[in-house]
Amino acid sequence: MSRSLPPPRLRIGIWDLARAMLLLAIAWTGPQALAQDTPVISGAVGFIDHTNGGTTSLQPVIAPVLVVPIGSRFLVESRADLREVIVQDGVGSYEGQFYPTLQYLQLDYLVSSKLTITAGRFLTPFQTYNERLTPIWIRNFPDTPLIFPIGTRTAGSSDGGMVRGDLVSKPGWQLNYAAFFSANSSVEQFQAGRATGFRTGVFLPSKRLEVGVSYERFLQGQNSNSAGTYLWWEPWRLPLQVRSEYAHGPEGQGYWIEALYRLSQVGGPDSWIGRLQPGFRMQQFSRTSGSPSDFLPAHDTYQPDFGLNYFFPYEIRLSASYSRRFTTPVDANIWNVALTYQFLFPALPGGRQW
Amino acid sequence: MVIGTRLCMTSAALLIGAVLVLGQEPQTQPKQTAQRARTTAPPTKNQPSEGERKFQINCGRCHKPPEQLSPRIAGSVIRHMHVRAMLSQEDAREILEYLTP
Repeated sequence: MSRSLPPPRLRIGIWDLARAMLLLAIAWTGPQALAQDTPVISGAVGFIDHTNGGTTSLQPVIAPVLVVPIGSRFLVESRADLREVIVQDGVGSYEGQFYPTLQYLQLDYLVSSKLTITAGRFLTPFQTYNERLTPIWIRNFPDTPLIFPIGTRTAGSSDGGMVRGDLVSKPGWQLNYAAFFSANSSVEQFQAGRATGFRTGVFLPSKRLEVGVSYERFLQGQNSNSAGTYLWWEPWRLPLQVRSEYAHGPEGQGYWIEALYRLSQVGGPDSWIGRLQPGFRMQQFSRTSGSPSDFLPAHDTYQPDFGLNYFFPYEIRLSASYSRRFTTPVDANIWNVALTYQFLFPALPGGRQW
Repeated sequence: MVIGTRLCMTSAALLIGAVLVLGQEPQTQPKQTAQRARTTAPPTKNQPSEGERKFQINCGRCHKPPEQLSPRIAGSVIRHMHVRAMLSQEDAREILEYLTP
């Protein structure tokens, strides 16, 4: 079973409220929208076959993203993850459960490139994976890293306010930042912990190299701290992606580092072999205190992952991975096969002049 | 964490060496102002435009460009990425020109 499963219940009232807000935003933006500012629906549909230690689950997923510009400085954004998890029980029959998750529903005020003010429900800006790599059509490996729950409690999303932007933007280097405060919420689909924190990074465009740090202060219970650092590198001369994160929290510490190489230099990016992207990820987690409900491995764990992506035309991608999890009490094999199709189209019917 | 520490140190040493060797930016059009860019000749096949370069710097680190992008929604997509990828106004405009020539 995937470790990042959302809570299983849906409160219709909350969804109705969210839908009403978005429809209101669409209606409001209509007469003022520019030709290129039609609201957008994007995202992906996918099907994931996940096997962990001999237990297989089938997961049809749809992850829609809605983007609604309002005027020249406001933007409403929302993303959901709607998936059915179908698991084979002991007698051979399959049972499914629906897991809807509202990942973000936020209003952005674009003050300048140095400052964007966000209010609502947003992805917690701790490290890079949560904000950049969680979409099923972007992540290189179908499974999230072992240390993903560190700093992103309780649900990967926060309810409150955030400021972000490029503090310094020079030709040779850029300094970006994001800082947030989140209130405690137990409302279904809006669950979040009371927390504050930031992420900041230095990016060198000429090297395509970024390093940064993150910090989160969890303001509930025993007021714990989480911190981390990350490094991204995509060299100009090779279709290579190197990404890594290290995080330390009250539950333990760990890292992941992944490298993927697309074979586009062999026959071109549109050749059958040029569409292949093999990859490797190494990750490790060391537990210092136990809590069975924190979604982290219960014991010290290290895990190599071997992945292979194939990029079909028309935004279709097939991903497969094999992982060997070394942990206590037993080691396990983890297999994943994921097929995703990314879509992007106007949210309003064509033929209408905007 | 002994294995992890050794692996991190080895990886860091390899990365530093590789960055020095492979991290050099390829030859592109000379950097120029937006006004000059519109008045000079278009880039050749082997020379990425400034918009393409900006896309590779900002957006291409996570995903490839969309195969098709309707001009009706290009502005919305760029504004979305302005927030997500912290694009500057100039970068956003050049990427928009690259995606909707």
